[in-house]
Amino acid sequence: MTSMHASRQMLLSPENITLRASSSRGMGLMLFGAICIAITFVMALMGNEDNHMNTVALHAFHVGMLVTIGFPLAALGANMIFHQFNAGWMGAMRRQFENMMCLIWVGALMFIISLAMQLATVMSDSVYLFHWMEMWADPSHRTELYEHKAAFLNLPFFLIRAVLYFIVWMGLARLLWSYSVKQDQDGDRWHTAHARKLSAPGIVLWGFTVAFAGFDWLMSLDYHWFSTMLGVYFFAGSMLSMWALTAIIFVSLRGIGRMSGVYTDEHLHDHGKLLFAFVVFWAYITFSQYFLIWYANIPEETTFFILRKEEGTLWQTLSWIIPVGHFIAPFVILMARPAKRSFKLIAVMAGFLILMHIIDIYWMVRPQAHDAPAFTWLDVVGIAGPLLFFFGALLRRIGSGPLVGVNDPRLDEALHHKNYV
Amino acid sequence: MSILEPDHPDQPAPMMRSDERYYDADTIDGTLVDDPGARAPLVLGGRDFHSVTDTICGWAENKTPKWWPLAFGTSAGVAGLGTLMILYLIITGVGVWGLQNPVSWGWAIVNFVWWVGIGHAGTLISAILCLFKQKWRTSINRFAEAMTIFAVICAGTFPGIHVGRVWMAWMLFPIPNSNAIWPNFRSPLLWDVFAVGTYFTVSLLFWYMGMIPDIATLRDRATLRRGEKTTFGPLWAPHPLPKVIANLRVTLPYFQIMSVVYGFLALGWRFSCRHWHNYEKAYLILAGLATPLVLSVHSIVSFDFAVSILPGWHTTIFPPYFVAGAIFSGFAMVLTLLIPARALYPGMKDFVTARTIENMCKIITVTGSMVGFAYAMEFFIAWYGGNPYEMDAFIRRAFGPYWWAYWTMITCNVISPQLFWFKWCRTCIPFIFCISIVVNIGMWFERFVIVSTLSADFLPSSWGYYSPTLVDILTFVGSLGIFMTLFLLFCRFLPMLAISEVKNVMPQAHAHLHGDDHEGEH
Repeated sequence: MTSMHASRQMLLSPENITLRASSSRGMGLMLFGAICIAITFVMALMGNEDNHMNTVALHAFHVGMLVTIGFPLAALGANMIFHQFNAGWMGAMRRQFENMMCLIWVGALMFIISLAMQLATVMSDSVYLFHWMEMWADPSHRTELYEHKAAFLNLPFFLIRAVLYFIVWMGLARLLWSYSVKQDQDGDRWHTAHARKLSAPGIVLWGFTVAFAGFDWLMSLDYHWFSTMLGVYFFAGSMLSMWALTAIIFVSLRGIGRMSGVYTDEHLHDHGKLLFAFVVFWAYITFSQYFLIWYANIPEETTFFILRKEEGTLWQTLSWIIPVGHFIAPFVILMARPAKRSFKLIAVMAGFLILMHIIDIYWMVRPQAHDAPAFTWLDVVGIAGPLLFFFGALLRRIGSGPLVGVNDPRLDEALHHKNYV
Repeated sequence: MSILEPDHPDQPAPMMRSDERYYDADTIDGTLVDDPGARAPLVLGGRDFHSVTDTICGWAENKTPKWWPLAFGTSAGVAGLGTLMILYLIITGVGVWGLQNPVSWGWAIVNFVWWVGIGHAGTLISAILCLFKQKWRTSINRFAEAMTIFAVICAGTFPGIHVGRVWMAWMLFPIPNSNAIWPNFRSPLLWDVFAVGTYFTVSLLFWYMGMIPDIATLRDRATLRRGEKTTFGPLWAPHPLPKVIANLRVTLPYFQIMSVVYGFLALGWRFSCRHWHNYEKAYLILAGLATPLVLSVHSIVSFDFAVSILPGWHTTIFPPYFVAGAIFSGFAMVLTLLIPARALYPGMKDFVTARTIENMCKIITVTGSMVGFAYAMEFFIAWYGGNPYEMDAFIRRAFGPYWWAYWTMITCNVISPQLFWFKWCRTCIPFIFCISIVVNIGMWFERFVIVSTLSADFLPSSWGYYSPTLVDILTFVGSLGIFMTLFLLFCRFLPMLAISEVKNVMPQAHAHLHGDDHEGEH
């Protein structure tokens, strides 16, 4: 790919950088997702103490919601990091990360649906997703440990925090997007400088909110358990899945003849490197957390892993699949240079890593539904609902405008991006 | 990433922002460009390749600057004092330190962690920033790598001497022996030996390998001048010695000697294409190998504390938190050394630009904030976890007998780097120098705060208060002397900047890409 000598006009011609007719497909996916969500909701209402379908529905949907929120959240963080780094090679790629980050509303919508679902199950069968909420609602059930944590784990504060997170995330995404779109229109390169200025405090806000979102939505599922690392864990997994999803987007765009010469082998190579880097980073975080808890062997902390290592359960199987599939296999495969420069292989690995991320979140959330049967058809539907809805919305968004920020001041640098020297 | 002007000819040259009048005249070198359409130049002064070689080699070849013997003498004196303290310790035993029950791990571990941490900046700059294609790193990587090596030497000293019977230190290594006594493989202290050992080896290889072409340049330049004789003197001599010695002048074939020494160190480098080809490959491989080491070394150092079940020590965020802290302190130390060197060595400001310094300040803010984030998480989870002992350990840190250490740490590590949010603070060189020292102090205190948590153990009857002895203090000061002595020797005799890498990021190196009309300065 010798993009260097191709003319800028040719590379940025509308045929190359717009995607038409994705709107109906996007709508189709969203509709499909909505149907899945509706089924999950119905099952949450219909479940009872015998089949535990309400518990399964709540947990499966929660997995789907967390994975769905992870994509735009990580895209938002990545965008701000690009701006802080003055990253030149992102000139041609930035728009796709921006498209993704603008979909935090999907996460918010899923959060609201999840709350509605929880309300429904509580009303119909008093089944709770968060056990501490039961204690909050009914003081007679409270344990001493909950009493200690009640200042943090109570419904009003939980909701206030969630609203705060979404305001911060959607606000940052909105502002960054507005700079980007204005630049498309007026070509003023200083919009990039404004975005950079916003990103610096933005990253700080983002870091704290992501960590606490991880505490709220993942860690407090079992209110006994705690780990200082969990916020970073949520961040690392989401980042990895976001890099994987963007890789799939670019490879698909190239596959249907878009962005040729704009997203080249060189971009793919660096994309693959980041995928590899986050595979390792995720493993580093996960291993550190597991290892420190295993070594110290304090009962308060080991409960989390004991539940997931119980003999003969699905969770035990997953506890073996995750280190192999989420780390060892992609680590070995992505290490080779040719692998990172192969569009097909990167697409396959990216899809695989997203699946692994779903399994990872599933493994963290689903065992908390203690009595419920492991892995039913409802798990698939519950997880697929928010994800399909998100993918549909993303597809619509990608098709709604140019695939590249055409007036990015670093676009030429990005088009000339090379991996050597 | 191009370092040149924008490729679009229709775009104006980078502009200074309107608030430039607030900056120190010394730092306005045109590199603090905010314009997203332009890249700041990395090398200033309208230099060509020849002048780059001349300037950087000149620092090693020219007459010793006047300040150098003074600085070297002082450092060597302090290093000697430290060595005496170590000797005293070995002869007498670790009782000369302030160790007691329950604080049985005192300054030795604090100093060890502090020094290892400082070393991390070099590896981050040379390996991780290399993989991130951050070209501004070329003017500081050699410098920082050298610092890494010397910091790890200082760090390695402390575990070595703290064992008490130094002559048994070989037992740290799993060497087969007739008593069949093996180190405890389940102890993080043993992993430290491997982690730090690997780290030192790879860093040394990386540093030395990167230096080979530049040493070869020094060799060739010395060989060209090998006929020249250099006269040293009059020699300085203490008062009672006869004037004859004090006035002595020695004439040596200095360049002849240098040509042999540098020739030996250059390992037969001939600047051939094949050599460069291997060099580039090896550089990338070593960068790839060193990258996980940046994370692993300090993660394992953090395991020393975190695998235990002591309140205040056992928390899962320790590994990344220690790594962030290490990079934080390392960058501060690079700045502490770089800022005086930049002022003292003529022409260095052309390479180490205001933007380089500003970038380093930004990294300090980022890593300092990560450390602050970790402190916050620790405190939050100490409360959230509901373990009264954990909470007590944190309350004692902040309000107990060591409150002064804790608040020094918070002020230096969390608050002071936040000043770099203001552009004035990131561009005022003397101010940056002060903050860099403050950060170094803060990071030392961070480790002291962690270690002093030991003073209140599970039995209130055995609580104590740790105070260092004079030997403790002088040993630490001595390690600073050892560090500075090695560093000054490096500045005097080796190429301080990576000549070939600096040339690589100059516009002239990319003439084929951007045409010849773009070579001017902004």
